[in-house]
Amino acid sequence: MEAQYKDEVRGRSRQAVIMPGLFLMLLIAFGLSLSLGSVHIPLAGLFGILTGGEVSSPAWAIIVHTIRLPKAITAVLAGAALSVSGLQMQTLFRNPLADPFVLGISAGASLGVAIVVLAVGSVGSALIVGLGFLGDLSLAVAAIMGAASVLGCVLLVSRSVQSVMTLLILGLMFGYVTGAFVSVLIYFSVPEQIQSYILWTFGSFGSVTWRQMPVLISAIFLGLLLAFLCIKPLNALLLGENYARSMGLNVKHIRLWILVSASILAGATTAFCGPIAFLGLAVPHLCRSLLHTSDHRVLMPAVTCLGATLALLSDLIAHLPGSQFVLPLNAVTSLIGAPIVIWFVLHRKNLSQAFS
Amino acid sequence: MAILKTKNLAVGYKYGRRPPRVVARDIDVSLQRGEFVCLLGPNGAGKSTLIRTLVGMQPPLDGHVYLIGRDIADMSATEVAQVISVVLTDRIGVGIMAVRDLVGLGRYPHTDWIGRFTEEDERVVSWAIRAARAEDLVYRNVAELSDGERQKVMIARALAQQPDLMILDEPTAFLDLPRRAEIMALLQDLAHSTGKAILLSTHDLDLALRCADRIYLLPFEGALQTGAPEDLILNGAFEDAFQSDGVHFDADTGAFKLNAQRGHASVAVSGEGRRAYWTIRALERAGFRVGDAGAEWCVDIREGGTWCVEHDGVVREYDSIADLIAALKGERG
Repeated sequence: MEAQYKDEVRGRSRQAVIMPGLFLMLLIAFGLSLSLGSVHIPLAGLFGILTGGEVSSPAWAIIVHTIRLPKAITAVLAGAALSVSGLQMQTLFRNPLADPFVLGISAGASLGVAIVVLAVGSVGSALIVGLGFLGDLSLAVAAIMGAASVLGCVLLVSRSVQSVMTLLILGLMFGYVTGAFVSVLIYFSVPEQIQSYILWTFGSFGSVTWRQMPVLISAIFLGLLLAFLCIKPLNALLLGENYARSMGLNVKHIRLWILVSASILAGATTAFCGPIAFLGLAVPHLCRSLLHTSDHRVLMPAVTCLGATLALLSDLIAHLPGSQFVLPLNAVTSLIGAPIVIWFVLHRKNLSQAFS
Repeated sequence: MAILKTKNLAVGYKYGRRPPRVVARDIDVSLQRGEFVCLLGPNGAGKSTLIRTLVGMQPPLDGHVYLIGRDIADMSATEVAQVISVVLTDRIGVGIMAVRDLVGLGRYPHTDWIGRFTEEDERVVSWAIRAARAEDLVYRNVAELSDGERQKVMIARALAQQPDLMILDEPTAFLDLPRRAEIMALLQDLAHSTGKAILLSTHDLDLALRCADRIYLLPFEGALQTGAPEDLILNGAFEDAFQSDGVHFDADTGAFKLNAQRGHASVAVSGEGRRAYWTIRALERAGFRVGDAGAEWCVDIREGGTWCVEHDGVVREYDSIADLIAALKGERG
């Protein structure tokens, strides 16, 4: 009886149920996102296609192989990456409102894309026509360049900055400055160019091709590996940097690794999928509330699973199964996500405890 | 060998190219195993700065800090963490965490890359919780603790780190008197029973004088003095350190007294025991000088629990100290 109570307070019994549950949900969501869409592919057919067995319809095989499978893999990677990155940022900055983009990573990527689409486009309009075949790769490269240069600035500054609060403010300022450049570019652009830029900002999991996939996979696996190696330091950082240092943590060192990891995750995702809002902010909160803990040994795998699941589901909803309509991904993540978080904040008091 | 030793230590702050601001200098102390030491001093004398320097959170402006014979500047954070653990005044926003898990964080320098616990770790955590007398808090959530409870838990966490030296920055701030006394007694007991050295800074003069084996007294812009509490009282070090306009340190009682305002009437009190003591306290609080020579009023404490005042040959009787004070103030005008 007493042991049961103790486990309940420490969230252990809850975690024993929820962790496998989250993994199961991820598998289900992955299956659904392959099966549902403008064309419905039954589970049996799906199994045949994936195992290389008997294929009942060649059209289905093409749909799964060229569209749905890369899209689902991208969603899993992006969802996991953004959520883990958000968790790291919230702990590092000890701020519930921190998300993967607080350091201006997405703003940097936006600037890269804006330069390609708007500025270069206005010099040689051939590029807009060229967007069809060259487009997605050049956009990704531009976004990576943009994200990487902001990341470089942040890391350079972080070495000489004492307090994380200073870093947070600097990151916000980077964001404003790059945002201002984008505004200027938009102001001098023609509507067609602006539209292709806006389309990128809506976010999408569908633009990653098989050729780009290895780049995305290796970047995100590297980021996740670093994040999982930082689990113990992240737990120490819950007590604040001074206590963490007193427990033997090399704070400057660890801060750099956390920033590198979170930035790779956020940067790679933004480069290939656009600035996807909300997942990185909300998923860590949902996991803390569900699992009743701030322990990163539990949160890290949970956030990975739930982030991937929610990304798959958001994409599924965006494609409105059974119709030809596609909603902007960012609209879906926020429209569905915000009410969920509002419900959690109002009904589960432990969420507000998390940062009190 | 001394656990902690400083040599010509100067502490303070460096601001870029400007000359550094030295808060305290020429600090030579050595701290032995099993010693319970209180660092006292007025606000702004540099207690916190000294503590931050001793634990390696900021570099010394000059001189050296040695931990068990090694210069702290040459030690890695992990090596320092195995000798010193701290309780700071920092706000802790740990989020959702049970007390036992928070105490478990103290095992940080002893666990593997992901922080897995061995049986030894579990045993040490249980011991630390018992030693800090926090058993009844074990399965509470950290966010729900009161200030006093949280302080005990943070002491347990510091113990779980198994240091040779614990340094605490104002562990009794924000606590009520019984809680303060409890924490001080707990720390004194820990130092004597476990052989750890404990150094804490506090503003709680009275408790420090009663509990500490040794006092480090850091006066404002003066040299740090060390000694047994009683020696520092008798040689006048306390009076010098806490000199100010409003109060002075009274070496007879070991407490602060408000300085009597000049020009106020003097009162003589006759009587003994507890009632006389509190009557004198009340008169001093109201701004009267209490003494025998040339007193304007003479307060006589009667057996029956009343106070009689004789003034210009007239005797009046009062039932409470409040009435007595009101009447005296009225006559004084």
